[in-house]
Amino acid sequence: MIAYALVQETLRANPRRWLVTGAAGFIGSHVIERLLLLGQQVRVMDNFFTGKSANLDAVRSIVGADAATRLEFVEGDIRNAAACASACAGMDQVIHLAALGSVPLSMDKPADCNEINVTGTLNMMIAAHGAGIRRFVYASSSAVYGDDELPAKREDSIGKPLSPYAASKFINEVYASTMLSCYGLETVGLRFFNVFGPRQDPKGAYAAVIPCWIDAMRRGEDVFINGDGENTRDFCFVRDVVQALILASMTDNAAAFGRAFNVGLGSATNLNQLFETIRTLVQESSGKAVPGVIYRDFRAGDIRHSCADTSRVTDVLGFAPEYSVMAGLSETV
Amino acid sequence: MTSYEQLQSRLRVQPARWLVTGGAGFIGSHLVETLLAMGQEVVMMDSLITGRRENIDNVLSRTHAEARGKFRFIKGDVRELDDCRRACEGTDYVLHQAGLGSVPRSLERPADTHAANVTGTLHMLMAAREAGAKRLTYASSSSVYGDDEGLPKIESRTGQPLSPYAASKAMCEAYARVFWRCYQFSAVGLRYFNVFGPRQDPNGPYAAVVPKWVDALRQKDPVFINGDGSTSRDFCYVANVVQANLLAATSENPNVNCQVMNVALGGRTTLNDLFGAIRDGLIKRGADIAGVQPVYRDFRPGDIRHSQADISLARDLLGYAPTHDIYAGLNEALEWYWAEA
Repeated sequence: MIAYALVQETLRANPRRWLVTGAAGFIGSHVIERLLLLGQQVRVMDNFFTGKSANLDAVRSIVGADAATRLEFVEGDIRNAAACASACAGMDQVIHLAALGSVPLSMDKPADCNEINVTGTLNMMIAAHGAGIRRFVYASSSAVYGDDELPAKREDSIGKPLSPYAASKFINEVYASTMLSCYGLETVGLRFFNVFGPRQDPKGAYAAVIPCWIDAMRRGEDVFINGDGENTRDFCFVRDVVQALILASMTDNAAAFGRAFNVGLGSATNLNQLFETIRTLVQESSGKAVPGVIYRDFRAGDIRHSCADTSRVTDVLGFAPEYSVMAGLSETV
Repeated sequence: MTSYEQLQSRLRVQPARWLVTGGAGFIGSHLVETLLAMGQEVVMMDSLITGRRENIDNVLSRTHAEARGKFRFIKGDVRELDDCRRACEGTDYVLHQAGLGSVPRSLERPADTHAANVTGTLHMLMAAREAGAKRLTYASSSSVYGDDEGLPKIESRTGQPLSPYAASKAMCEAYARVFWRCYQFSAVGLRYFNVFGPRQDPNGPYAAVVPKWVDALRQKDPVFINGDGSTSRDFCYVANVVQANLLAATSENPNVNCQVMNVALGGRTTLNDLFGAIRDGLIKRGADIAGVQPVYRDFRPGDIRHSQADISLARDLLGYAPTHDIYAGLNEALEWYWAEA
């Protein structure tokens, strides 16, 4: 709590100019919401490939007209190096979240995944460096752990990537390390575990379990679990992810640069528990009974247990999550 | 008989269809030349951005007319997926050499190196797989060892890459792993260690040390050593690289399917010693450069200090057995450079 509170005070006192790519997406919209509430100047670049203008509207209405005047939107595609350069002009900080996030889509279209996630990220790093920006924070993913079998993931023990998506996130980390050692760009990657929160898309090729279930329960549709429900995940509320992104952006600790850190709660929730919690919350808010879950076959390729070891992000960045899974779900349902 | 000799016999009896990307470049042109000499069907794709027509001409001039009939050149760029698809049609084995070399080039133009090496290799993996090729064998690099200081270099231990070039080669290896994992397509990486030989380009800001020094000594220009000359490398004559490529491409050993292997001599030569060997080799051929010494300058950013390969993996899995040590290799290279005057 302390590090984040201090950083927020510093930012309020001395606002900076932030470029956030992919900010019309789920996580990005929460980042800019917080930055605007902290009095920052925020430029958003998004091409609405998966992001939604409705997310930006939601942010404007949450932060109020006054703060919304500090939000500048640029429609642009990170695959275009010139667009990246012009988006970076005059900025102090970059938070790069724009990406193709779907694992199955990456398997069908590895060239698109490479173009957006790898070439796009490299374009952004080169542009940031060219614009004299010192700090570059970007979204990596727990997917980089690949076929590593330890349930508690530690940063320096990664397995082999299981998809072009996972490879692209791993490759971002490699380029980020090189951009530091060759050009001095202070890159910090954050390996997101299972992020959840308001505005997360319940639809789409790889909809995450929480928005998908909330949506299904509200519509009175069936909810399925693939397997026995004992699979565990490290669910992390989006506002804590925002904390990590802002800490990474502002830290003076050089031990952070050129590296990637797990962002999670460091706890494991199994799907059965998750189901019961969401069901209780939905029943309370809707007043209607929600039927029990339906079990199906395990899905090939699904990892059994995944949980972040958060000692590094805690030690190096001072990360201290403020939301338990329950508290986060209460804000989400 | 060595594994390579056995393979050559087999291929002569039963020729296969090969695609060499970057075939107008230094290493690629040797692959093409050897394959044609063995009676293989060879398609070469090159963008001619760094590859040169002279290399193609040189290869064809050394190839019998009958074998020349089995050669086809496609002008194409690995950054264009359609070019890759066209080139891969009907191919059994792909030897993927196309890319942008040079650590200093990548520091100046990281996006170009990325497009050619990472995106280009991904395109080739996709195209080769779609075409039903048996395997894609690609040029990786000893630079992937990065800041790992262990010697000799063993494949399972790499450090952080020290240049965008090194990073791009590490990425090729990552994509190759994914193609095995997701699609069961076999792509084998060969980590080249300081290859040298005929047709290596002496010109340009990114020229490699052997041709550059040969050229400089013959022109009586100064030879620069970046550092104090104690920098060491595992210099590997191109004929050994050709052997490794052919063995890797055709190996039926299942442990080769998604592998990366060092390709080198397993030796260690300092720049000072290399300089001496080149100078003395040229003096033997009549160059008037007795007593010439190099000029020492600053170390170059991104350069690794010492590099030496452990080649036991390639030996064990492929039966790789280098035919030329550095002196035999230099002898042939100098012979070629001298004759090209």
